[in-house]
Amino acid sequence: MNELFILNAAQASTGDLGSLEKDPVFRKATRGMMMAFLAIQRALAPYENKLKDFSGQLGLFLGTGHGELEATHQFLTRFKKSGFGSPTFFQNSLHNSTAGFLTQKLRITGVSLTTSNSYFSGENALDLAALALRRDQILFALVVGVDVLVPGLESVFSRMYPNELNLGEGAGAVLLTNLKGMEEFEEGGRGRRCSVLGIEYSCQPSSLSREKLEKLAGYYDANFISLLAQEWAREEPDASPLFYKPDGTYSRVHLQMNETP
Amino acid sequence: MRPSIKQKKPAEDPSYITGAGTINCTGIGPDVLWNYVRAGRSFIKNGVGLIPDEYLLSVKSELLQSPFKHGVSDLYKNLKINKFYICSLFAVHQALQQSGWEKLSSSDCLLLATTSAQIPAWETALADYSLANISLDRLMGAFWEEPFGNVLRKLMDFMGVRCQAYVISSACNASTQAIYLAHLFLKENKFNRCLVGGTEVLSEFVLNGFKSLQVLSDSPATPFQRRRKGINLSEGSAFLCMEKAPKSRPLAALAGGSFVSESFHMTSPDPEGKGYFQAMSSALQDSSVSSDEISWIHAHGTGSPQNDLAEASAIERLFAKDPPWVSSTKAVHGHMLGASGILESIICLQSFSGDEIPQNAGDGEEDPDIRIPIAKSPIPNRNRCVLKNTAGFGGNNSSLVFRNLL
Repeated sequence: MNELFILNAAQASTGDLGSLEKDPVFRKATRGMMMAFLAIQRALAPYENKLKDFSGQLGLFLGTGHGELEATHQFLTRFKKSGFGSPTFFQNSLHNSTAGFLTQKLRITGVSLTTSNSYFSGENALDLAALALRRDQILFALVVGVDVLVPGLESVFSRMYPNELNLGEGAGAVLLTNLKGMEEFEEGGRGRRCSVLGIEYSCQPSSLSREKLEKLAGYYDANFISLLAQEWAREEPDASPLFYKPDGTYSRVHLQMNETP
Repeated sequence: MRPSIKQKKPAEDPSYITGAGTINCTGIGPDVLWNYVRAGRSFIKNGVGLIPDEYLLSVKSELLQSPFKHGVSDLYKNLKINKFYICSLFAVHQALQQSGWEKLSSSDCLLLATTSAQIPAWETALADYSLANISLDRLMGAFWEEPFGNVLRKLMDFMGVRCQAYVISSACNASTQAIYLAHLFLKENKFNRCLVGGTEVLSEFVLNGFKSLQVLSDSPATPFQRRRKGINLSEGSAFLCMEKAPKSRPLAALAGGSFVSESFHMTSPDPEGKGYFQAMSSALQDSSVSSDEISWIHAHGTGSPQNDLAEASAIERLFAKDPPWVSSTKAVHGHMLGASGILESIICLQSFSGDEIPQNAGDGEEDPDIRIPIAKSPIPNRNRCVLKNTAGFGGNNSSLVFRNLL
């Protein structure tokens, strides 16, 4: 089995968007695209120069629960009012638009794949990135989870999730590699210490305790990647952290902290 | 530039396709689809390929005999809204029947590809709610199916299965990616069997969205031809059963494939077809199939001026010495968006038993800028290996190499 390693991980939230929103490069970008871009930029920062040689070996695997629902909403509402369909809103409305925008801006020419599976969207993205790395399709994978709250649809979202849940939005990015990728970099450091051994999904939903619901504060469907980034950033991460979902199901990632060589 | 790691890849075992099912605007099942593709008969009306209600009604009795009968009756109470599930369940049922699989188990995997899922069920309600024309209660009746994951779970409930499942939504490339992911899963023995499918149901949102991009043709598309005007959107569902060690004779082998990102533009391909070129060359390397073994390329061939020129340019460069026959069949069945890769893969499989390269349907006037051999009429041929291309918005490309086992 080809081992997988986390090289770096980062997150971004609504509060980070300030400068990007005024940048003409992001004029047509959605908030989801911008948040995901920031999270990726942070995750890539220590490796940016090294990864320039590997653009064809870098893949992007994006997980999102609701996709670009904000752009879909804008298109539909404007069309209903005026009979005019905005091409920008339409091209931004696809679930895959976020990944398309990111691969273009970051010149990623490996794989670009979008997956959407409600609470497990981030887990699915990690799963598929791990598959591509294990099968040597690529050497490096950016696994991204992103979801936004749609202005005007707050009441709709609160109906879709348990009443007690505090909803949020954000993006997380994890830079993964396989053994060949680690050999290309020929370095130690934090990446070498954290292996991803596997991921498992619970099947049976159960009621959530108050304590667990509070832990989900700022929840969004693809927040798994962000939470994994937080776990990775801890000095002593849990070897098998659990990631609870609003229906009481959970996922578990098996990490192995190795000795620094 | 560093060398591709795929160059040193030795030949590996293929995965096998053991069942196929589809319902689309041409009718019900792979054989009907193949017959009309061979004849070059177009089912595009007013620029789109819709599934007539009578097709949906005709599959009712068959579905009620299927393992999914529980809940199917309820679906038919609201036929229009639930076209997505009816089409999906029927295509699954047909594929499972052919493969001899009774039901998916926990060691199997389901990969569903879609770009719009159940959007026809909620698009109008969402706009009406936003403009204060309807209440939140009325919107929520349909909107809970907005997340693709909820649609997947409802489909699995109808099928009565609990297994690992994924929804791939990489635009029009989604189902080709899903097939290749299934192939990779099977090769590493993560799952015993993979059920892979794609479903699209046309909606006002999708139709008006493409209209806003000015890429639609109001008559049957004419891929690779001089007067091509644009694409024909269509709807339907197509599923494949894939396994590594089939118990019965498979329909074909999937020798290999690829998925790449072009990183050029959100809705237009690189004019030189860099993504197509990379996807096709990677797929040939991955499958250990040489270019002269490919007898036919089933092109993405949407009929849009930009796509066809880019794809033809890539084929011309990759197969410089002796390019194989190329045709697109989208003039017959339209562009089924995220499900097109699987629908057109079924045509590739049918070409093995049909011993024929289907024609590139359309008016036939050549484009002098396209210098690849387009099959203007059906060509009798014992196809050994067929290459299938797809591309999607967001700049992603995939290719698959199917091998004839007959």
